[in-house]
Amino acid sequence: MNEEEVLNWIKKLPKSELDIPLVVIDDRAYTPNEILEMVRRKVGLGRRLLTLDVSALKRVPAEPQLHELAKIRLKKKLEKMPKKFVLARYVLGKKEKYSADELIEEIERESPIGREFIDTEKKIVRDLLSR
Amino acid sequence: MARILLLETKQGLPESELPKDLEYSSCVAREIAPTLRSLGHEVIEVQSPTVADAINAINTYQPDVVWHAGHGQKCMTTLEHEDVWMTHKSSSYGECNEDRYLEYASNRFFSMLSCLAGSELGPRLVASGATAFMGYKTSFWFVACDYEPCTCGSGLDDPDEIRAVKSPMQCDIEWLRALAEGKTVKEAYERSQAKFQSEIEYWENSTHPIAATVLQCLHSDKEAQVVLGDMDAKIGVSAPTPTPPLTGTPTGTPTPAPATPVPLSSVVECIFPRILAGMLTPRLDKGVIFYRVQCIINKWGNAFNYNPSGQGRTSD
Repeated sequence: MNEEEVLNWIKKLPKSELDIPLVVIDDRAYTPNEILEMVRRKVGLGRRLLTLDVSALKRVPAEPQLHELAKIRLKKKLEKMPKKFVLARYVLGKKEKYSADELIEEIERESPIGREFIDTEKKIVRDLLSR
Repeated sequence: MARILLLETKQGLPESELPKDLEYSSCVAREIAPTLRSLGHEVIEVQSPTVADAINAINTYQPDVVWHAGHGQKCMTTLEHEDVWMTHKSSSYGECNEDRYLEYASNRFFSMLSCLAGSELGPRLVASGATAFMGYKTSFWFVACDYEPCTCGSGLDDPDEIRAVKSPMQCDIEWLRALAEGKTVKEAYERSQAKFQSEIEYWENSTHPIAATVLQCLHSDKEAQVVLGDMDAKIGVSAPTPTPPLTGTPTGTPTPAPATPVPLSSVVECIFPRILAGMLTPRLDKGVIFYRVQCIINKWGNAFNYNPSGQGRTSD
């Protein structure tokens, strides 16, 4: 892949995704902007990326890696949420509202709520990588 | 023309950890009420409804469509202050030990903004005769303000933050809007799903710090949304009359059913609604001009159409 191909790939991604980890290479997750920067600088991993096909960026990671990627992404997204907001739901007999910190905790310990979020995030990743 | 009942709940638990939680949805429903009226439909709005208020409104107005927001479980939905409304007997939740108010489902469209109810209660309502049901099989997530309620963006200045607190609800209410425009149940569901997608695309292209969180809600709610029942049904269109057989013995002229007199209590209910329902004068509360006259006409019509095995009153 070259810089132009990476730029074309990035153009197909939502702006809100460019600084959130999406691509897993050698067990490490990289944001689209990090991938572009490495290819531009042509050093380290960037040099190796130049030898790969751009389709390598669209590869959905294996399940354990996808699971971890979803957790990393959720944490990153929730950390950005302004503190005055919470997430809420209309459920009877269960906790109704969650701050970002509470949700991160649920995701870390993979509670039923945490798993619900992880599963949704996995679908989002698959959708993004298919673009 | 159809009759649309909006049960505009404000708060789940009286001492809710999220004040005015249900108002986040009801304010969006209230905002589209004028549009629904402009399309020729009669819209009845009941504020902070208890179950008694909801049943009273259904009996009085015989609505074709019922929309509400309320805390839910797989087998149950509630109204103001978690007043338990419809339930079906199920082992999925401890309090679902009987079928409750399912007879009110018959020939109606339900839009139920209530977590989980789409997984069990929705199918049960359709089995009980509801024409259609739209709801959510898992949690319905939305963005709210932590300390001061910011329903429909009240108290917020940033247009994106205002959009964020309304975004999932706007997608939900799209089903009702599309039905009111004459779409079928299936087309209305597709419109609602398309609205979810267009909101997803809007937030995907935003760099606002709330964007990722709203996206999480939208993806989850879009996936959770279910629609059940007669996919070709439309509101304000009566069920087709069965065509009589072309052959066979004529059955003669049917004898008209004797008219049931309008009970005195119903007339009193129309003339003194505040006393009986403990609410605002309905002309103001529900936007019905000449409320009392309209109410008596409705009661008179209901008395003639009363069906003892169908949608009659039930004991509480």
